[in-house]
Amino acid sequence: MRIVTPLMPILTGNCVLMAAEYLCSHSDSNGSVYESVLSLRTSSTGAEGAQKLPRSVCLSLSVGEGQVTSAAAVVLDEAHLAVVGFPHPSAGANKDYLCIWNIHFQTLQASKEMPGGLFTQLWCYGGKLYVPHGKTLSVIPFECRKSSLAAAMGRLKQSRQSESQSCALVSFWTTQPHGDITKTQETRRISTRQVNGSNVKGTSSAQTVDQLTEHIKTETLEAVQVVVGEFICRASQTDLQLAAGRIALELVSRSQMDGNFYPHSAFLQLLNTQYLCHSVCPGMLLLALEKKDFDLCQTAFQLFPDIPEAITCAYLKAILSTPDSEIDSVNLDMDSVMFMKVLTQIGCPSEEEVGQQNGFCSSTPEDSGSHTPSKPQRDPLHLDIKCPVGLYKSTLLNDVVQTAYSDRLLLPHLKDLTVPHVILFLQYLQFLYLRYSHEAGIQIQALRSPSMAQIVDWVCLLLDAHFTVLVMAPEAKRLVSDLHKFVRSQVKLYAELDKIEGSLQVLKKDKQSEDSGVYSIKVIELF
Amino acid sequence: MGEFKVHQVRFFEYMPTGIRALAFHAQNEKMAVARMDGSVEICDCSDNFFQEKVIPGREQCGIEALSWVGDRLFSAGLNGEIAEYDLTNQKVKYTIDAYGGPIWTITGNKQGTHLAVGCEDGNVKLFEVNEDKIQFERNLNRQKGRIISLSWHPSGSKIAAGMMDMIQVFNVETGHSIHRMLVDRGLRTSRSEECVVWSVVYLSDGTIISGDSAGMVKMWDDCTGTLIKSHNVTKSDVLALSVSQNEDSLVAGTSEGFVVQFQFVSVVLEKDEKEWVRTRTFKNHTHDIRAVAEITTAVVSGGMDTQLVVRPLLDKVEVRSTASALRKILFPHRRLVSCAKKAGLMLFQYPSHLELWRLGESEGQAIPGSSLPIIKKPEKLLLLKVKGEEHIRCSIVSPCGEWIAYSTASSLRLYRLNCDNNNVSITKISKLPKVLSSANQLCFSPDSSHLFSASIESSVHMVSLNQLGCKYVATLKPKSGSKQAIHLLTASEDGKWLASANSDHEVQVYNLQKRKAHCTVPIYSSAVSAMAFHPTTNCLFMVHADQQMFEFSIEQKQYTDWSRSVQRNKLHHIWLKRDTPVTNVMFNPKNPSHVILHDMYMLCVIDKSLPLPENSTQFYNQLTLKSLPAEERKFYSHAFKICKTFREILCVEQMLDQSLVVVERPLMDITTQLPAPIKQKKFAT
Repeated sequence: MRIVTPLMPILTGNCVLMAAEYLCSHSDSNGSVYESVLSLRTSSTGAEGAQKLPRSVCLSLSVGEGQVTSAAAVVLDEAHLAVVGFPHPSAGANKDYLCIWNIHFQTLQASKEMPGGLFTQLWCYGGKLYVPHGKTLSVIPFECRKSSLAAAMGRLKQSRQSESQSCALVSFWTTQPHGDITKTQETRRISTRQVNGSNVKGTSSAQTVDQLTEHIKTETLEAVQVVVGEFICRASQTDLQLAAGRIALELVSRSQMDGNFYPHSAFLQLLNTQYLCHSVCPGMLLLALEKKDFDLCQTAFQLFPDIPEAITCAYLKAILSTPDSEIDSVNLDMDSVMFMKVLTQIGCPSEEEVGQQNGFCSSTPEDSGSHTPSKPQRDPLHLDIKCPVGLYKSTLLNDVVQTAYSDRLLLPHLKDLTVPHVILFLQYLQFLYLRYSHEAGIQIQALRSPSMAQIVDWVCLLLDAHFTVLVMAPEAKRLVSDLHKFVRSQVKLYAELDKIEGSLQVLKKDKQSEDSGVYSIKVIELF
Repeated sequence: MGEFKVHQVRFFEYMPTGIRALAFHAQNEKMAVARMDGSVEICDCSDNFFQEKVIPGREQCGIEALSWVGDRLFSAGLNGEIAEYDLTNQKVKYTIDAYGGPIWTITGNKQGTHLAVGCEDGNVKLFEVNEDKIQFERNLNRQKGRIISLSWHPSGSKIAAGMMDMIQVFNVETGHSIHRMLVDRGLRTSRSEECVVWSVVYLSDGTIISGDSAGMVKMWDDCTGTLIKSHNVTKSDVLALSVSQNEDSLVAGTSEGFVVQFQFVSVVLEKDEKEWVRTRTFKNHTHDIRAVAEITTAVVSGGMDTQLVVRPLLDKVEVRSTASALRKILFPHRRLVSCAKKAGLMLFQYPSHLELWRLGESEGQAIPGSSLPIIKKPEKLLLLKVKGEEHIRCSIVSPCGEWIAYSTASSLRLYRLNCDNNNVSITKISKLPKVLSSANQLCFSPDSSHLFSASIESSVHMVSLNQLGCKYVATLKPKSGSKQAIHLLTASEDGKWLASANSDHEVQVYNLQKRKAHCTVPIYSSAVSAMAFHPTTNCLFMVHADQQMFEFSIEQKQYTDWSRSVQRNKLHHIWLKRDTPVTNVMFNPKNPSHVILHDMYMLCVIDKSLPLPENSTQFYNQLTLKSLPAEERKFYSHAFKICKTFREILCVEQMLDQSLVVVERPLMDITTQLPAPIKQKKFAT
């Protein structure tokens, strides 16, 4: 016989979730929740002392990086279990979540953030969950419907009303509702969206979007940032999706009117929800460019799929015209920076060896003949090229190179660049190209790095846009001739390969004719 | 072990023709196969489907149907004639015009008393089967429209006829039509297109089963003349039906190339009520299946793609053996190529012409596995067309390359070939001895001085050849008095011995100096598929259709020690599992212990000095041996050296310079010449 009774939950780092008479579930520090069947009879005789409980795993929770120091669980019915103190599976290490798990399918049925730090207590009484957190006690009425695979997958065809697993209502006991809520201001990006997040109705946030926009119009910069941050934390994903654009627009219009108002962190937070794109808030990027907010621009360039070519060019211009010293102070995405760091450092000490490894001798007799003997030989393919721009600037340029564009639309805007900028950018692209072709075998681990094709396309575009000017400019002469020589050597290489192709074709043909011939004289050997 | 120089020849454009009709003789387990060119083959189902008899066809003789009546085989075709075959002598015995226009079908009753033919003019004609001929008896009531298919009720009192759009059931006694059952025109075709009932089967319980051009297999009740059940089998036509002996299984061949099996089973377990249920589908053909036959343990089907496919029914096979494997018969089991060893000539036998080719030449040495440069290409010297309508039965070129002989069913022709430089001329030898009227098999003596011609009643006529012509020498007759036709002849290198094998599985050895029978090799249960005399020891080496091989010493009139050891040790199971017979045996003159033989898929050299492979040893070990150093090879080598370099081999012959000629006919080349199959909608095409 199995009886599952909702019972007094007991916290634990290590053990227990006290049981009813017959069944208890307990969890341990590795995140497993166990179920043990206790016999009433033995417990009544009970003088045996410590007995080892027979147990079976009913749920495995991810613990995340940190130790689970305090957690609590309560059995809601035979299929559902409420847990506090374990990290939300898709929200990183933040443990301030109430999660309702389906034991049968090991799925997260519903979850809710409980800001303010959870205690290791959780009760269930009369169809309501009592969760103390911070200075509040939230009372959450719940309703467990029959566990089925369809429900677990969120595919149950029911009206929205009955679909919601648990209908959360929080009553704040403290007088000041928002005072203790910790503000999550980390710029961490939640890549996997909460699957079942929408099941928890986000009525908890005291503010509606309308109220928020009113706030934005009037409050001080700090207050606005706090309110927006709070809204983002509270709002359900669907609400946020709808509201993000509106909030961003509101923020942009306020900033445009009020020169001193620029909510950098609020913008970043909005961007990190990934619900924004350029067409939703057209003014934001321009504003950021105006404020030289490269941090925001970089994030936007990495996330937005629809940046107009004009803005791309403006951004490029802004990067190139800003001195390195200024950019180096910007807080940038470290992954991209690390990529550039590795790329600029790699191969520098050992490039000679690498050059010889392939057995590739770059200076052919014709090449050396074209040089005047008095001049020291300078090999255009030699990789002794320093990165022409600083580390942070190059990181930003990489993002530009990776942005989607249409060449016909980009070309007129590219013409706006000044010659020194074009030369600088070309030099940088050449540097990238050489590094890439040299280190072709070495794949540097990075989430985002420009591809070879993107680099070549940009070189072509820049040359197309400024060729006549570059030919005339004396300072560009060396660069253009280097590129030319490089292209020539490539053409020569392919011409040589073409010759080989002929002989390879003959081999192929020979083999074919052997098969299809109607008559041949063969020698076979038997052993 | 040795290198061989091999002429790989692919210019013999042998083209088998499609299979039109099948008739199974259950008692003798013989399958009669009629092809589009009018030839009829008799296969022995109990002996690995060896083609023991081939009756060559004629021009303009399209056989439409075959029927066994007792042990007699009849055919009928669109030329309006009924033919009976002389199976002993492998020729058409006589033909009779049915005077009803083209004949679509012929079928004999179970009692063996009557034949019914279905004619274009709408008549079902009954013929009485007499002792030596058939006699027209009467017509059943004439119908409008052609009679496409016929089936007797096993009692012989009723007959069902498939026609255009309908099936008629006749009372044989009165000749009146009892029922007229209309067949639906298919939905897929236009309503104006007639539905052809391609095949009917009349079961003893009164059920009539029909297969039609609407793709339906329909079951009818002959009491009420109503449709019982209808199965939609295909989108195209159901062309052939065949029911098993005990009437519990039915197979239908379709023009999409698959065979559907129906079984008469009880729908509810342990209830007597039975129903025809579609059970299995076999897809082994690419083209229309024109004929199917259900034999004891297998379904045999054949069609436009020229292959005879034997698909075993595994529920009826008790032991896993060669009989339980899928078998495809692609090439004839007899030789269509003969070579003039000394002159380097090849004679290709086509149905109605012969081609003589001279082999090319190469120069230099080559490493094994590679090709030699060709300095002289092979050339076609001669194209000899046959006079008359009859197809060639056998042909041969003499070892010296000066004589060519061929025979049709009714005539034998001998030509003398003059080759000086590039001028080739032939002269027909006009005055042949009377005994050389026709031959079942021909053979020249190795010195080209004599021609041997296998004739009726297993006798062999021997004629001598010289510049002036030929002269009858003797007739060799077997002691056994067998009447069966000879299908293999071989003469010994020294000209002393001649061996013949006939379809009674008898092998006779004649002494040519005394010109009389010397001895008989003990009869083995399987037919001889290839045999030859050893050039030095004069032992006769025979390979049978069941893959067994024997070596018989002529002088001692007993099996040799090697042959006995082969029988004691048993052949390797992989050797026995091969499904094509060995069609030629040769010997390596450099090494007398080497026997060279081949089947369709491999060339094999048997080294009699090496141990025979055990069942556990690796049989195809050439690659292993190749990878081993020379001194280790002998530990691993066994008597069978198998070369699989060549595929789809029609013939292997040895030339005087010890090179081999391998005539290949890639199946791809045959397939590309077949008519296009029915267009089927495949996914994403």
